[in-house]
Amino acid sequence: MTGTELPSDGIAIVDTSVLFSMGGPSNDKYQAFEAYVTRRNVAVRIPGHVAEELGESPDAYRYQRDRLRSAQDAGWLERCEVDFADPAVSDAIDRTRERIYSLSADDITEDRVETTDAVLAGLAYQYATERSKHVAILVSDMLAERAIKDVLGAMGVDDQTTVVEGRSLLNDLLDTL
Amino acid sequence: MSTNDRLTDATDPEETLGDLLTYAELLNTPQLARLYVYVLRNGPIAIESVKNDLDVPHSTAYKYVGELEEMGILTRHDEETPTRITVDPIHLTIETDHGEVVATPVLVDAIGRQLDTEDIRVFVDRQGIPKLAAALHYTLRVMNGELTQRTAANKLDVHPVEGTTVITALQDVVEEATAYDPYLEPAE
Repeated sequence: MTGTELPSDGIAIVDTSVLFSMGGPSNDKYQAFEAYVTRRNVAVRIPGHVAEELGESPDAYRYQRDRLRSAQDAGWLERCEVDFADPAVSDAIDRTRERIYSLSADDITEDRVETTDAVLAGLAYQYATERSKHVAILVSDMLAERAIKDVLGAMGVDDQTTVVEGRSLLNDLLDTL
Repeated sequence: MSTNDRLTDATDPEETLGDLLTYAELLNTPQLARLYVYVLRNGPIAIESVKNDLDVPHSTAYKYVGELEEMGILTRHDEETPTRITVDPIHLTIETDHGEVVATPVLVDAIGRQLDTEDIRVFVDRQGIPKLAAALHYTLRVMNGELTQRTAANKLDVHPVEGTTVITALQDVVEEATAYDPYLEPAE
């Protein structure tokens, strides 16, 4: 147990990898997460960019789309849009993308770095500044985690935001069942 | 990075190709791969137990044990009754144009998992074993903080959802494999 917790009544932004780690509604981790966020009244959000990426995936991965839909239908996960018109939000996205590139190994060229990872940071910044709620970003990607943490810290919202390793959180939830 | 140095440092080409042919069967047969990893994790273990635990027919279990023995990676402990078996961790290094490719037990495990893990089965059906090996290579790099999952999907030339799906599944495989794959460097 690492003791990572999502603050009650806060917002949790999840990336696809964390959603995939949960599996479907019949999976223990999915059920544990659903029960946890419902009990703590955590609003779970997925950026439109991430949802679109899922929607455009090959048909063989329809079962992954169904998992997203199940969570949406159950009412604990909603899709939300990043406000690119807000200069600070788009700045957070640009800075995160640059940070990801600078943290990446030498053989990674800039065109290989996807904006979708950085959108998570943009959305977190948007929520942290426009609402008074705590925002957690759930990823399972060491590099993305570091980049998002660095940029949100540099932009002065580290008090209102936490970057959480999603797979560890799911494992912890199972252990405490 | 000098290519010449790599060539002179390379292991005996005859031996490497011999190993490659030996392990081809292991990398191409998911049921055999699953049995190998099971024995690696649980050995020394009686053949009967392996057969029952994995729910494979008697003849198949003995056929696979024979094949692993022929590959020279299985040992029978005949002095015990019932006879128990152990297997050695494989380690195959191939120099390619894309750098060094290494096959160790974690790859064999990933191959065996297509039998019970949908995320891996769908990927192998669509992309094949060589791409799974590449996905495992990038999973280790993702876990090492060298690139993000989406960058890895990009390098693998697969859709981000396909990349994230297989990397997420392989992260579980790698985490478990640190317990039995001596060639895997533990994550920090």
